Amino acid sequence: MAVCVAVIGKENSPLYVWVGSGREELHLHYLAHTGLDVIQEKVAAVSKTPGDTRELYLGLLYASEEYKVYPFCIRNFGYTTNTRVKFVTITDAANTTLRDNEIRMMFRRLHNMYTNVVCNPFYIPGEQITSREFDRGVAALVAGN
Amino acid sequence: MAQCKFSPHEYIQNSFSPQVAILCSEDADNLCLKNNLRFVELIQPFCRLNSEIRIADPAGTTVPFRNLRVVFEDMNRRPPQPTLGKKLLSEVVSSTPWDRPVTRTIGASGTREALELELQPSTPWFETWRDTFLHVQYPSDHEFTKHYIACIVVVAATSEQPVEQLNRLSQYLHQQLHQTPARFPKWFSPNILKFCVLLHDVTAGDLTRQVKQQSEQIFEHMVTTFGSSNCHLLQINSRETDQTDIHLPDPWSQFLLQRAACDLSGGNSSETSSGTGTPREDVSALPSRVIEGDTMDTAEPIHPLSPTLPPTDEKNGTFDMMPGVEISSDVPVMVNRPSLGVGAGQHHGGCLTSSDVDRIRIFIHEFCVRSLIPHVEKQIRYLNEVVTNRSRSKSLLSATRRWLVGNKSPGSATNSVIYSSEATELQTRRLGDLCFMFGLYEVAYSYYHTAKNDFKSDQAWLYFAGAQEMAALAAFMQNSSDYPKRYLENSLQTYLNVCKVYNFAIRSTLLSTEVLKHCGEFGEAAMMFIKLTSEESDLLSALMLEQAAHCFINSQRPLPRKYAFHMTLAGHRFSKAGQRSHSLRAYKQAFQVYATHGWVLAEDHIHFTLGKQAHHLKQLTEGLEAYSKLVDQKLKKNASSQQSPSQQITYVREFINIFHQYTEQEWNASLGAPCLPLPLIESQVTRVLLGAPQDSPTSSDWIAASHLSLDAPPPDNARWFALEREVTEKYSGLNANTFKPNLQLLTSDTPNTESPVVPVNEPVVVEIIMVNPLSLSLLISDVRLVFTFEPADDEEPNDVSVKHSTCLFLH
Repeated sequence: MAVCVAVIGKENSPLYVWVGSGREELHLHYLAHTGLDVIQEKVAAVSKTPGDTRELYLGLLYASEEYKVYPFCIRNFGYTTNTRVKFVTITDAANTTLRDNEIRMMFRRLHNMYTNVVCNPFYIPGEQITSREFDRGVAALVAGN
Repeated sequence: MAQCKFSPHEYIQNSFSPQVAILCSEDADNLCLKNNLRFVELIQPFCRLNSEIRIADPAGTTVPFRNLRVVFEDMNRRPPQPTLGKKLLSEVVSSTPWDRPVTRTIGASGTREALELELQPSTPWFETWRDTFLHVQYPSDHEFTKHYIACIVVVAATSEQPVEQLNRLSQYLHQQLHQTPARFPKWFSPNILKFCVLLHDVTAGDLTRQVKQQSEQIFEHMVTTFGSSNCHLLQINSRETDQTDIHLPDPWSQFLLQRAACDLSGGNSSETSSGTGTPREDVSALPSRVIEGDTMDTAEPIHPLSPTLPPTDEKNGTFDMMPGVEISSDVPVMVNRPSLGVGAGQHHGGCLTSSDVDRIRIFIHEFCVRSLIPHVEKQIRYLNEVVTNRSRSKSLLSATRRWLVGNKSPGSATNSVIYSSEATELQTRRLGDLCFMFGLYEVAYSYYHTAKNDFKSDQAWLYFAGAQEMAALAAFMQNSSDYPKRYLENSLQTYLNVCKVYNFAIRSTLLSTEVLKHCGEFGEAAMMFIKLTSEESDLLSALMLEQAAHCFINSQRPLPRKYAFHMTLAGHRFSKAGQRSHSLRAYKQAFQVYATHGWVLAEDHIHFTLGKQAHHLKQLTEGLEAYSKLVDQKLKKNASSQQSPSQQITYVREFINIFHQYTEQEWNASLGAPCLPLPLIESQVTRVLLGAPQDSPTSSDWIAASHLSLDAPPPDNARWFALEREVTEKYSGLNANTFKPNLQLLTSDTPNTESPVVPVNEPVVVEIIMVNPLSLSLLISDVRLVFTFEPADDEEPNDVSVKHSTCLFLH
């Protein structure tokens, strides 16, 4: 259901980018990157208004002619830092059956998977994610089951 | 966006300046040509009044108005053909130089999100494009701001019969005014202001007093015929040509550079005016001109007459960047104007003294204050009367009709309504335009508003959009914080979707984005720019995208990634439009955002394009740099797998290609060896073997008397050193403390601080491990070990020869 899933680190460098086969990889990379601007804007708006800080889903970032870009921003409420890892998915704009809730669920699963990756003692946070488990998870996620 | 030369208010005022036509006799033009200028060009630098003038509004109260700018145009100038106009615009963009970028920090400094970006402080190419764009537009019937409001007839006192000539010219003017059907030039109203100028050449006049008296007589005659406020005796050329004083400032050059391209387009028409001096009945019907126009159209992009430019390839992107070169190439095209060189090297105004310049200035001022303003005031009063009278009688009718028709939105009908030129609606619009051009914005707004509603009820959408746009602008000019924003959006929509007049949509966008930027609504402005991008015009799209990008970066909360994205898109469109250097610049600026964040795919794409553009622009060093980054895997973290092998092959091929060119053309030995980014050298495992490597003996009974070989496992150095030490102590009697073991194989593990000693003529073997990070094989041949020889103080350098012959595959 998604054409691109990206995990982006706190310094805005990509940790993991999955692009559906047969898609314009470059174009989607550009789009995902551009989405960061909107994330930054939204995060800044959220942090100004103290409220439900547990809501990590930021809603639709923007819609281009072909794709919709959804963001998701993990903020781990640690002791001193928050890790500011961002998730971005891009879906086909033609796909109108997707509901907000499904996207939210998808992000939640992705978040869990990412947590598993971080729990791996051999994984250094901030490095590119090379995990077969994660690959499989993402593949299942975008397949919609 | 980047800083503009003009504030939005100035820009809007400049875009809607009153237009004055100039009808110049051949003799008069020849007089001016002594200065390498035509009459129109001669007065160009002085067409802005710096002093404040006062103008009366319809109610009779005088309103001050500053910085009136009057646009003087050759009456026979025609806007260029659309195709030619496009070429013109493209040339203007490519020939405008730009400033150095300025570094600015985006995002809160000190945080990780802070980005140091080099941004363009201004975009002069966009501004010149914008001006040229407005300049080449055809005047339309639905608005009057581009219609000539007055005409200046210029004759020379030195010509044979100036009075007769004057009569002939004004007859011609009369003909042009009342021609049916109306053609170019377009006139504001049938009743325009006629102003006569008698040019008096002082150098010719001083020779004999008689000539001067003669011209004064002629002037007297003119005054009696045309009225004293409508005539002017202008003295120019107060000194001889040969005594050139190049220290005088040259206010013309900047105008000529701007207009050079435009003049080229108008060349065919101005040729008709200066070519014969006698007015022609029907200019467009003359076959000679038509043919010339045609040939110019087709021949223009190649400049076949130009010796400076080589035959170009399919795009006009190979035009030289130097404006001077380009303009000098224009000169041969203007066959009928021999001395009209606008090359940068030529000096203008050689025959003018500073008092002459002052006289021109006074002339313009007199013209504006003593005849133009009274004329305009009269017109305003007259039109106001017409409009109020008619609308009173009409209001009942129109109210009924409005009630019957109901409130329809645009989109249902096409522009079927045609007004006669004297229709009340058009008169209202005309009045509004007149007030707007002379700074009576408040009055103008109310007229525009009335006109807008009339047009709407008539469903004349083009007229409606125009009036609506102007109403918004008039409101903005009065009070920049409170203006009807939806008017602008609405009229843009109408232009685009209902009337499909893209040129007006572009103009509307240019104006309304200025307004939006002034109000700080950068996002809106960017959206407007983006709306105009289309498949049709690459140059337009590129410029619009670039401006949108600038809007993003300059908004209250800068959006650097959106900026980068749109810059990339702009770069792409620039390259499609043949503007390679602009493309290169756009990509470079976009790259700053992507760099060092690990967006490898985007980086590679930009590097590849950068390399390609630089290669085409013959900037080999830059191209090489970009390609090296492309194949250089050290910089990329763990990213070699990101590109497919076929992509890598392309990159490497392009790299090798440009590298060869670079080494052939730009590289010289003094720079040292060029550095190849591939393959990677693992410097840590480099080993140096002193002495010839021993072949392992063929017979297994024998063992080489050396412990050293590159293939053998590392020797047990400690035991060898102990042995060596024992031997040394025994035979040379040296103290054990000063003993240094004699290293034969130097690796990263051995103590390498001491320089090893090698006997003369003994070989030294260096083993270097290379790694190929790409997923394709590289063939490396003709490998050479480069070394520097540093002689010790008391030693003579010896000849050292290095043998090498290696050919290896890396996988």
